[in-house]
Order: sequence, then structure tokens, then C-alpha cells
Amino acid sequence: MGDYTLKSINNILFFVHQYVKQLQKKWKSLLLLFIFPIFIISIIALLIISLVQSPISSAIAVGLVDDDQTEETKLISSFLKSSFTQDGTIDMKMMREDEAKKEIEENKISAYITLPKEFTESMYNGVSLTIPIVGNAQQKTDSLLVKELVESFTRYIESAQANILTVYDYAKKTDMTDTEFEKYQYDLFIEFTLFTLAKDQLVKEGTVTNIATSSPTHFFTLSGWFLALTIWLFGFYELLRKDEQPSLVTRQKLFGVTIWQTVLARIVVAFAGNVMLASMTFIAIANYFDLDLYWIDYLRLVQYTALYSLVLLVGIAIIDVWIRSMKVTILIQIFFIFLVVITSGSIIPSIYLPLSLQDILPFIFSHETFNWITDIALEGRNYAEYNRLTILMITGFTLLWLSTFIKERWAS
Amino acid sequence: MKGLLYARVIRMKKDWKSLTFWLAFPFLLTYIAIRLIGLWGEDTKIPIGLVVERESQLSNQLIEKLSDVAYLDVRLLNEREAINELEKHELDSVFILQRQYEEAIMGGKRKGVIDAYSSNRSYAYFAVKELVTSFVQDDVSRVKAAYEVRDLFKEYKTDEKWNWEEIVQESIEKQETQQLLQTSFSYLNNESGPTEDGVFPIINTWGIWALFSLMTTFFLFDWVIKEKREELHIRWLFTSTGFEKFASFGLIIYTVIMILIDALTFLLLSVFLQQQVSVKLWLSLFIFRIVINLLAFLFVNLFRQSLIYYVGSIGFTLILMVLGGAIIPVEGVTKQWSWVENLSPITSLLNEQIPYVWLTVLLGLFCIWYWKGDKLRA
Amino acid sequence: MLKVVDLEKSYGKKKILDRVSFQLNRGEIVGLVGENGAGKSTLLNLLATITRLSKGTVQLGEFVYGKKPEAIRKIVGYVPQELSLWEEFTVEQNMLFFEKLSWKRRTKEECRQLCLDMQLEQWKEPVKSLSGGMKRKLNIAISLLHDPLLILLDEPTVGIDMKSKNEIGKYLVKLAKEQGKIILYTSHDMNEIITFCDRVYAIGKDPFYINLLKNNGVLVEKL
Repeated sequence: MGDYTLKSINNILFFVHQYVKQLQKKWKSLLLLFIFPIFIISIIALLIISLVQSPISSAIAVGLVDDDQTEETKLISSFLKSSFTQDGTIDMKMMREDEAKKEIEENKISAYITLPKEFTESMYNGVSLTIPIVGNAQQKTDSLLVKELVESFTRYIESAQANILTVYDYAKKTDMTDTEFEKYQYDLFIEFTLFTLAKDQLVKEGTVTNIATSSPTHFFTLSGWFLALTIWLFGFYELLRKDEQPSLVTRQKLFGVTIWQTVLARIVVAFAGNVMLASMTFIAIANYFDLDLYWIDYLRLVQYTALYSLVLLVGIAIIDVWIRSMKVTILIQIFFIFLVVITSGSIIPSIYLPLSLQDILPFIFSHETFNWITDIALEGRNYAEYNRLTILMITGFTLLWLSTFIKERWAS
Repeated sequence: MKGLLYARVIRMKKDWKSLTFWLAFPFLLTYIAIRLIGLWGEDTKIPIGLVVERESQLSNQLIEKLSDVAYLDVRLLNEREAINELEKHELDSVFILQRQYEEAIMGGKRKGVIDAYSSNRSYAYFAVKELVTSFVQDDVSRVKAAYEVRDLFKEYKTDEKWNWEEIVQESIEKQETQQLLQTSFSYLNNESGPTEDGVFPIINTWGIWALFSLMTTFFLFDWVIKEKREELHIRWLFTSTGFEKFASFGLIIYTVIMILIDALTFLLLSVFLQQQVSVKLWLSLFIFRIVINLLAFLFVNLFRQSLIYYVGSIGFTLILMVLGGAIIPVEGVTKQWSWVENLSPITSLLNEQIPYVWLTVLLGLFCIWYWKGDKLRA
Repeated sequence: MLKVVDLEKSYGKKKILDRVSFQLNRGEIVGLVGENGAGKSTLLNLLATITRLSKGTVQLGEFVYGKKPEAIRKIVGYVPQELSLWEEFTVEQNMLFFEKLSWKRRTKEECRQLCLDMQLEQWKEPVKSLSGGMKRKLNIAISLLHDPLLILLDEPTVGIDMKSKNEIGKYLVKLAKEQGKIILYTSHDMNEIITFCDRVYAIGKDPFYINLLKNNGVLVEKL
């Protein structure tokens, strides 16, 4: 037994050495692997920033078409214009319908809104009315934003209109003359419209800032780092894969090499390579953002990164052991990684995940790891707990060993 | 020609199970993904904190209305707890109804009746704030209407008695029963616009389909590596067609089959997911298929080993998806630099356009590949 | 007839073949021997138009090498040393696949007969389950689909049992004598060379093969 264990360890070390040499030969692929997640994450960041930041010059251009052309609609149009243009997000212009269509075709506006011909009449008489919004397919996001804003605005007007109509009903019950009633209709309508447009006075807004997380950049950079770390792990493992001839596999078997030894060696090398990359990049991030971390914090972070890496690698390896087809293996591994990343909370904060998932989140290793990492790195958490992750890691390795054992039995 | 077809059929027949699976894959995964996203949307509740400094009828009404909103998880807390949870990002936002909430509204004073707090990671804050504002505005507006009627009764003669409750009730009924004001949305020249996807209006079915379709195409085209391998290299020299012709014919066959499958997929998706498919989209899809098949064909010719190819193609797919705006819209960048639209053929698909640049470049590269291969043979 | 005059092949500064001249006639089965690295495979590759000659002239019938390799490939059959088969296909599928892409049309029965002529009977068996000898036979059969005039075989019987070697050797003799093919093949198995070849060419510096063959009464010439 002792001999066997020694031989096993020897074999594992041998393959570790082989895999390291293999990585050295594939240095170009390693470079590509390092750059790839950084490249992707940078592009995503750029896209998000450009979408969210709206300099004055790029306010959403919207057209307003007044088909009714009554005094009421003219007033509403100018109120709408000033209301929307106030905060700079929308630049609203009056135009005719044919002009509006042309502007969309020329990609000059994101959408146009039409106040239809019977607008005023319908409003006064409580007749159902639809306001058409025509969007620009080339500016889908902006079009949808306009749609949301107009829908929200319509809800307010609808509520106001119900109240206006209620007051009209009561006004009819008084001894107001027809002329007086007509004037009253108009005045009330305008008053309520103005009143509704000033709805933002209702809410006094404030932002809460947690000193530690006062900059979302810190959080998102850490998220990016976590995502990159996950991709690197997968990449390392795949880079170490070799399409071995069956004859070579048989030959290795005769030398006492088992699947477990080769898989473990692969995990060791992938783990070591990844911890190096992850540490280097994390230190760079910590320095850049001047994070207040002590050596004990770094130690804890390394431990969490290590546990996470091992559990993820074990998961990838188990899929590798069981699935024969390379294509299907890679596909399932990709889905696994996708699930791991989504449930970690690094891309989508966990409070926005489905409720049914939220109950099991504390048991998901990526979620636990990411929370601990952000707590330690950004919120100055002073202690760490590794039990769950350690148990999971041990269970994972046990399952992996069992898988290789069963597979070898099957094969022979 | 018949010989080429027959030989290709022999190859495809061998792997028919795998071929069928990968051809069905984009539809199945798109359908499952959209359904899951829908379920996610239904199952997701945005946690908000609601602080009521003093209970009143109006505040209770507001709590009830907010609690009835399917996608909100309303938590009644005290101010300290609420702000604390918001700081820890366990709440999306916090709304505080002040002590004088009811009195202020009843007295027609609506300014700052609610304090709203968000953090720098409150993604749903604006939508929730709008909702809360609209509910409160309803009450405020009804109060105004009631007072308006009171003033009317004071000014003009009437036998009616001023009844607050009655006025408010009538207003509520009018709002609920009469669909007074609605909006309709469509894109220019289209019949209708995108279907709402609840919490995720920017999720594009065709974007998701493009992801799975790209991946499948790359995976399916591994036949090129298998047919190009070193051991078979000699055989190709002694055929009447040569590898380039056989492979090109294979490209055409696969493209025809995949176009038919795409057409079926689009039909099924339009039925099962109520997605609108316009003529422009069909044309865009047709060209998109030709482009990605050409792309996959040329890409696979750069590789000798299947594994590296599979991993490389996953990476390439991800890059094309990101640059194409299928994950995050690219409009923020294309506003300033319109050439960014040409970085990925997916942008054209999502905009129902034809990727002319891609088509031209790829056809050119294909011709070079074909001609170069021919020269090498001689 | 295949006529080779002053053939030279260099890879950079390294000269592999230096002014090689010989002639092969129809109905002949000629062996090519030499130590490893002497240039046997290089010569075969040149004759198969897989690589280009650096200098010299080669003529096969009316075709001169150099201008249109496709025309020459129609009448040359090359059996590579490495097995060049679809492992995942059956024997039938392999034969039919290459028949469809070949210059000459053959029926399914004709393809099957080609295999049976070499005692390859496992028509419906997947290639990966065949023995080494069977695979070698299939490797040859595919190269003969287009009924070539010149057949070049690069160690066609490496690593297979004696019975299969014998069957293949007899078949090659039959092709040469009954159908007038020109056959040139390389081998390290001297018994095979002695048994089946009409004459032998020796390539390389080592006189071992020449001496051995001469001692066995074989007509051998140094290239």
C-alpha cells in the first residue's frame, strides 16, 4: 500500500512537471488567455459607461407631432417640451408627421410621439384615446427609454384626467352656464395638467453612501477581476488538455498511470498558474485603488481564491471525466461556468436574482466566495470563515476521485 | 456534382445524431433561455424598504398598493434598519413616509411628502420611484379634485352635499373602469414593436438566438478539421475534386440546410414566443446565416486541432456577441463612432440590416483561400 | 513506361536525391530499398507529384512531370505509409466515399471485388475494428480505385502478419503481370522484396542492401 501511494505521488508529480512544460511551450496561448477576459471585460465596461453617461450633446432627440392643433394641445406640447427637456435627457422638438418619419429614416431622432386629432375632444369627454409612439429601430435602447417615459407620463395624465372628469360631472350638477362651463373645462384642464407635470415635487431624493463602497468602480473592478479569474481557471484547464492516442493511454496504464493522477496533476498546475495570475492582478488593483489592506487580509483573500479555484476546477474536471464527446464537454463546462458566475452576484447583485434561487445562494460556492472577497477587500471585514467552502472542496475531490475510479473500472 | 453530394451525404449520415442535435440546439436553447428569463422576471422581486413614521389610512393604502405589485418585495422597517440594509445593498431603495404624510396630502401640500433613498448600486430605483410617485400622485390628485368640487359648490348653487368619500370613489372608478389614455409603440415601417419582457425589456430573442446559433455553427464546422487532417491529406491530392472543392461544396450544403432550419426556427419562435418576424428580418437572417457560415468556415481553416478550435470559437463567439450589442447595447458607442456597427455581424441582425462589409470581406477571403489552396496543390 | 533522368531533390542546402536516373516498364514490379533517411519516401513523393522536383526530368507515358500534376495524378496511385482511412467509417463507406470523388466510376460490386481480390472480406465492418493487415489492404484498395497505371507503395506491409503480406504481394504481382501496371514499392522486408520483385533499386550510401540482395540472386542496381 505504501509503495502504491509513493508511486501514485511520483506519477502525479511527474505529470505536474509534464503539464508545466506543456504550458511553457504554449506561452502564446497563455498570453492570449491572460488578455482575453481583460479585453472582453474592458469592452463591456466601455459599452456600459458610454450607455450610462449622457453628455449634453447626446440627449435623446424626440419629435412631437400635434395632429390636433388646439390651444390645449399646444399648451400641453410646450409643457411636455419643457418638462422633458428640463433634466437634459430628452431634446424634444415640434414637427409634422412627415418630417418626423424623415428624421427617423435619417436616424436623427430616436422616436416621435403623436397627439392624435381627437385628443382634446376625447380628453374632455372621457373617450378612450391612444397615443402612438413610433420608435427608431436603429436606436432601440433610446426608443425604449422614450416609450417608458411616455408611458409613465401617460399614467399620470390618465389619473389626472379621471379627476378632471369627476370634477366636470359635479360641475354639471351646479347652475353654471354653458359658457362658464366651457371656460371652466379649459381652465381646469390646464391647471390639472400643470399640477401633474410638477409631480416630482412629491419625492425628496437622497443617496446613501457607504464609505467603503462609495465608489461603484471599486466594486465593479472587483467583479471584473472575479470574472477574469473564473475564465482563466477554465482556460488553464483546457490548455492542459491533450488529445491522446488510445495506444498512448494504454501504454501509460501499463506504467501504472491512472486517470485520477493525470486529472489531479492538471488541477494542480491550473490552480497554481491561476493563483499566480489572480494574485498579480489583484495586487495591481489594490495598489491602483489604494485599498487599505493588511497582510492578514491578503492571506484571507488568497485562501478564498484558492478554495474557489479548487472547487471550480473540480467541477470542470468531473464533467470532463464523465462526458466523452469533447464538444459536449466544453459546452456543459461553459454552462457550468455561466451558472457559477451568475449566482456569484458579481454580474447581477443577488437581490435581483429569482427569489427561489436566493434561498440557496448561501450554499453556492461562488456566491459565498465573492461576498467574502468584497467584504474583506472593500468593507474591511475583520474575520473569515472557511468551513463551508472547505467541506465543499473536500466533497468535490472525493466525488472526482470516485468518478475516475468508476470510469476506470468501466473501461477495463 | 452528384459524386460530391453523395460523398458529403456519406459523411453527414455517419454523424446524423450529432448533426440533428446541433441543428436543433439554437431553437431549443433560445426557447429555454427566454422562458427561464420570463420565469426569472416573474420570480424576481425587487426588495424595497418602506418606513412609515406614523400610520394612517393613506399610508396603509399606499402600503397595500405597493404590496400588490408583483415585482416588488416591500419590507416595512424603521429608518435605521432600512438605511442600514440599503448601505449593505440588501435593499434596492428606501422610501420614508413622513410623520405628517396624511395631513400634508389632505391639506393639499404635497411637496417632499416622501423621502427616497438609493445607493450607488440601485438598479431599479428609477422605475420604483416612478411607481411610488404615481401612486402618491393619484391620492394627491384626488384630494385636489375633492377640494376643487368643494370650491365649486361654494361658488355655485347646488343641492348636492359635498361628500369627500363619494368624490374620491368616483375618481377611482373612472380611472379603473375607463381606459382613458393608452400608448402604442411600434418601430417605423413595422407593424408592432418589441414585446415587453417584464423586468428585462432589453432582452432580445434574436440576440439570444444569435449566440446559440454562432456557437453551433462553429461547433458544427469541425468537420473541416476532421477532413483536413494530416493522414487524409494525401488522399485529397488523388481525387478529381481536391479538398478545396469538396469543402466548399460542403459549406454550400451545410448553409442550405441551416437556412432551412433557421427558417423553421424563426417560425417556431414566432409561434411559441410571440415574436414578430418582418420581411426585413427574414432577409437579414438569410444573409446573416451566409456570413456566419463563411466566417466559421474560414476560422476553422486556421486550426489543426479540434480542442483549440472549440475553445477558440467560444472566445470568438463571446467577442462577436459583445461587439454586436447582444449583451450590452452598443448604441452609446455607435452614436459617436458609427463604424463600430461593422465590428460584428450581429449588430446588423439585431437592426434587421444586411452586413455588407462582412459579406464582402468574407467572400474575398474565401476566394483567396480557394485560389491559394489550388495553387498549393499544383 | 516511367523514365527518370538526372532527378535531383534538395531541401534548402541538403541534397536528398542526386542525379537519380532509372526506368520502369509496364508489367514490372520493382523494389526500392535503402537505409532510413536515404530518400526512398522522397523519391516516391516526387513520382506521386506530392512534392516538386528540384532538377531533372520525369516522364510517365506521354506526360512530363512539372506542368500539370493533376493529369499525372489520374494515372498514378500512391499508397502512403501512414494509414489514410476514415476510421469511423466501414470498409464499404470508405470505398464508396473515395469512389465518388475518384476520376473513374465504379459500381459498388466492382469496389467490393477490389477488396475481395486482396482477401479483404469485412465489407460492413468499421475500420477501427479491423486488424492491421486488413487496414493495410483497404489502404491499398482505395489507392487503386481510379485504376492507375503507375502504383507507388511506401512500405505497404509494415507491421502486419505474414499471411496478409503474402496476399498483398501476390495481388501486386497479379496487377503487374495481368494488367500491365508499373509497380514500385519500398520495404525493409527483404523476404518480400526477394519473393515478389522482378528487380530492385537500392538508394543511399550503405552497401548492406546491395550485398544482401546480390547474395540472394536478385537483380539490384544502385541509384
